[in-house]
Amino acid sequence: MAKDRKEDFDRFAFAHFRELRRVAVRVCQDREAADDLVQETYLRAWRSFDKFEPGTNCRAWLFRIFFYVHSEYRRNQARQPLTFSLDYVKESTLSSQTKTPSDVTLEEIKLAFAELPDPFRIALLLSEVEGLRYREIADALDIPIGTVMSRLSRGRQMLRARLATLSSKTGESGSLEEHKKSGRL
Amino acid sequence: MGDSDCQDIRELLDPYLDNELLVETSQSVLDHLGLCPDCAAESERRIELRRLLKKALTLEVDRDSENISRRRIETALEEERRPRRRAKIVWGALAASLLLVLGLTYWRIGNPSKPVNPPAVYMPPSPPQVLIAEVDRDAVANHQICALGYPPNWTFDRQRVARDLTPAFAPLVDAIGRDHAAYKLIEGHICSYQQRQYTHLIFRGNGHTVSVFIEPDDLSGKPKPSHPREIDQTSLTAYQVASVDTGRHRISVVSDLPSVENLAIAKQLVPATLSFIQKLEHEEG
Repeated sequence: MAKDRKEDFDRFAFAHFRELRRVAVRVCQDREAADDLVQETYLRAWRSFDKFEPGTNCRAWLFRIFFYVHSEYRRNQARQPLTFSLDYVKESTLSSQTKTPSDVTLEEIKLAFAELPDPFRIALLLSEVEGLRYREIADALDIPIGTVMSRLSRGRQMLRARLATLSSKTGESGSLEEHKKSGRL
Repeated sequence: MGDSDCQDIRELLDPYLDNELLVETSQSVLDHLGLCPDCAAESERRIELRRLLKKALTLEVDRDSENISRRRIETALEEERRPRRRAKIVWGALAASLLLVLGLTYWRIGNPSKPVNPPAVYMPPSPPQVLIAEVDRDAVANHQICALGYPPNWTFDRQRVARDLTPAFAPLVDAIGRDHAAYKLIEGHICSYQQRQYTHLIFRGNGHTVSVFIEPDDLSGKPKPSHPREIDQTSLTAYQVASVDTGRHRISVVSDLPSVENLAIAKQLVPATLSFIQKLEHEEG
């Protein structure tokens, strides 16, 4: 019986190890911390594996545990509940239609992405990089699906706005194609 | 092609690219993109940004560190799966200690000449003190993260809101009312931020968004008001937080309205919310 449980756990949970670790590294931006949190996630998943129903979404279940562990970690680490400056986004800027700049480098994209507040960065990471559906993101982050849509929408707006700022700072011009040819993309 | 059409389509563009729209809606976006070069170009830009973002964020896989990490977890899991013997020893030790304590107590009671020491009073550890400022800041952050991102065309849907609010809080919508002067209720749900769970109603009007949050009160260091009637208001950068504390729940109204106007809308929204919560608390005992 215990052997079955162990085998089931290894089969279901470790199938998502790589993507969970990849997300953890991106979210924590620190490999050691990411590995600690992934380990804690697996330990907690094992302890509550009895509650997991085979056939339901194991990936979303694991992500949900991970984000809970991550949230605890952030809270304990700094006792600083606010993850971003309240000035970061003014309401008036939310509806601005910024264009995606054509002259950005991958480094600039990484930089702009890293500067996004956690909730937006995490939603974008799960959607854009890991390809989770909105429903899965909602389950993983324990938020309503409307909030997932809103975080993705605002995250993309902020990213575009930040890239537009970076782009105008560099003052460089040129089309997307030119930059592709010159290796900037 | 009207500007409002384009505006609507651009609101739908990201869910369309994520393949998250209904088939009919998706078709209407596709039809529009076929007719509108500006929106088609915007769609291309977004596709390109997605491609670049994915490329930028895809980690170069370091198999060695991945394997080390996995082995470490497997070892930890093995430890976790092997606690039975240790647990038996611990329980055995606890049982023996309990018997010893009971035996000693019995012996002492049976010998009244010896003073009986009063039993040690268990003092639970003090719960962590949560600063009010921290609670207000979390409410503002959740307002920004959650409420402000709802698309402009987001409308109230009774079925969706009833489901997302859970049966306990679904009647709150009728209790508080959907229309308050210029402000209309557009959304209601349960959401969480920094391990706080909020019942969250979102109103919109006059170009502003107003959040009503209800959260279980963990202000352990704060005196509990016996008759919560006064609305306190604090300012945090561009935001106002008007709040009332029942001792078991905290109700707050958050917006970027001027102080007087936020207080005015709070005075409209809080009394009905407060009655609802107090009734709920009474029923829960």
